[in-house]
Amino acid sequence: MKHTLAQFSRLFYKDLSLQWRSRGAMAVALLFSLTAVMLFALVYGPFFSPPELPMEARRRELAKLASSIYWTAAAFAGVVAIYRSAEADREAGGIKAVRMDADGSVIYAARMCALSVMLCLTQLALGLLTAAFFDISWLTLGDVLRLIGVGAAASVGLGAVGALMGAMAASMRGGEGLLSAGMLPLQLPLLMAASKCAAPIWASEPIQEKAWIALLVAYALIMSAVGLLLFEVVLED
Amino acid sequence: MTKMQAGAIVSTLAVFAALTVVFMFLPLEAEMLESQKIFYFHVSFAFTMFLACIVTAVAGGYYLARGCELADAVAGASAEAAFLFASIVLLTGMFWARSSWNVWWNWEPRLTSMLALWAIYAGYLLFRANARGEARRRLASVYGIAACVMVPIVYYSIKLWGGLMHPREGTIFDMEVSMQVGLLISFAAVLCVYAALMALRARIETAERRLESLWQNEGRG
Repeated sequence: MKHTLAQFSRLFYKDLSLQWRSRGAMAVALLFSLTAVMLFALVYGPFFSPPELPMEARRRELAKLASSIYWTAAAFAGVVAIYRSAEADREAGGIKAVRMDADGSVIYAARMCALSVMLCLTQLALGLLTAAFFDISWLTLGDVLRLIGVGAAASVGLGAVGALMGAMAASMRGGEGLLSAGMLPLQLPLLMAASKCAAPIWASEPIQEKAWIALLVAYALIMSAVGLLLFEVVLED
Repeated sequence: MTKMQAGAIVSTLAVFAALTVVFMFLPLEAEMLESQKIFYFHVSFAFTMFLACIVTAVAGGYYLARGCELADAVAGASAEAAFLFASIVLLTGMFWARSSWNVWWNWEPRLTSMLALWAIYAGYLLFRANARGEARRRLASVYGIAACVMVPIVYYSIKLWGGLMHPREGTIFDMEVSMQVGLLISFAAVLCVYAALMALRARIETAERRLESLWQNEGRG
C-alpha cells in the first residue's frame, strides 16, 4: 500500500509538471471563450438580456448563457490539455517507461488526478472571465463554493474520460487526430449535466432538477471505475 | 442455400409481414392517424438499438477476457448496427414529431441524450476504422464498454428529467392489445434484421482478418 502511494505521488507530480509545462492550453481556452463571448455579445448586444426585463428574469437569461459558454470553453480546454498529454506520451514514449515500474491502475489514477487539477485551474480562470464579461455581480460565497463543487465533479469526470482516451489515442498511429472525435461524445453527458447544474447557480438560485447532480457524480464515478479497470488493457502492446 | 441467404430471406419476410400487419390490419389511432404507424418501427428500432449496444459491450468484454476473435467481430458488427438503428430512431422520431407536433426537433432530455448516444457510437466506429491489428480489437472493446454507460441514461431520461414528447417507460403495457401485437411483430422483424446484419458483418470481418493474415504470411514468405 505504502509502495503504491509512493508510486502514485511520484507519477502524479510528473503528470502535473507535464501539464503545467503545457499551460499554454489554458491561454488557448481563455482566448476561445473570449471569442465565443464576443460573438454572442455582437449578436445579442449591447446587452445580453433586455434591460426592460425584471431583474430575476435577466439573471436567469444571463446565467443560462454564461453556463453554456463557460462549459463550451471548458470542453475545449479539456481537449487541448488531453491532446498535449497524448502527444507527449507518443513523442517521448513516456508511458512505456513509466509502465516498467508501476501498475496500469496507478498510472491511470495519477494521470486522471493531474488532469483534473489542471482542468480545475483552467475552469477557475474561465469562471472569473465569465463573471466579468456577463457582469455577474450577485454571486454569494455559497454560490461560488457550489460552482467550485460542480466544476470539481465535472473535472474528475472529464479527467477520467480524458486519461483513458488520451492513452488510447497515443497507442494508435495518427490517434491524436481522432482524440476529439472519440472523447467529446463520451464527455457529452458530463458537460450536459455540468451546464444544467451550473446555470441556476450562476443565477444564484437552488438547483431544482437534482437528477443532473446525480448524473454528474455517477457518470464521473463510473468513468473513473471503467478507466481504473481497463487502463492496463489499453497499455498492452 | 447458405445460412446467410436463409437469414436474409427470413428477415425480408419478417419485415414484409410487419409492414403488412401495421399498414393493412391495425386500426388508425384517433388523434395521430397515419403518422402513428411510425411508432411501431420507431420503438422497435430503439429497443433493438439498446440490445445492440449491450451486445457490443458484452462481446467486447468477452474479447478482453478470453481473446476470442469472433467476439470482437460480433462487437464491431453490433456497434455498426447500433449506429445504424440509432440513426433510424432519430430520423423516424423527427418525422413523427413533425407530423404530430409540427416540429422537427426539440431539445428535450430523451432526444438530447439519444443524440449523444448516436455521437458516441459514431466515435466508436471512427476509432475502430482507424486502428489496425490487435490494438484495434483491444481499444474498440474498451470504447464499447465505456459507451454502454449511455444506454441507461437514454432509457431513464424521461423518468429523471421529464419530457414533452415521449411517454415514461412501461407505457407499452397500458396500450390497446392490437397495438401491443403490432409492436411485438415489428419488434420481431427488426430483431431478425439485426441478427442477419450482424451475422453478415461479422462474417465479412472474419474474412477480412483471414485475408490480412494471408497477406502478412505472403509478405514474410
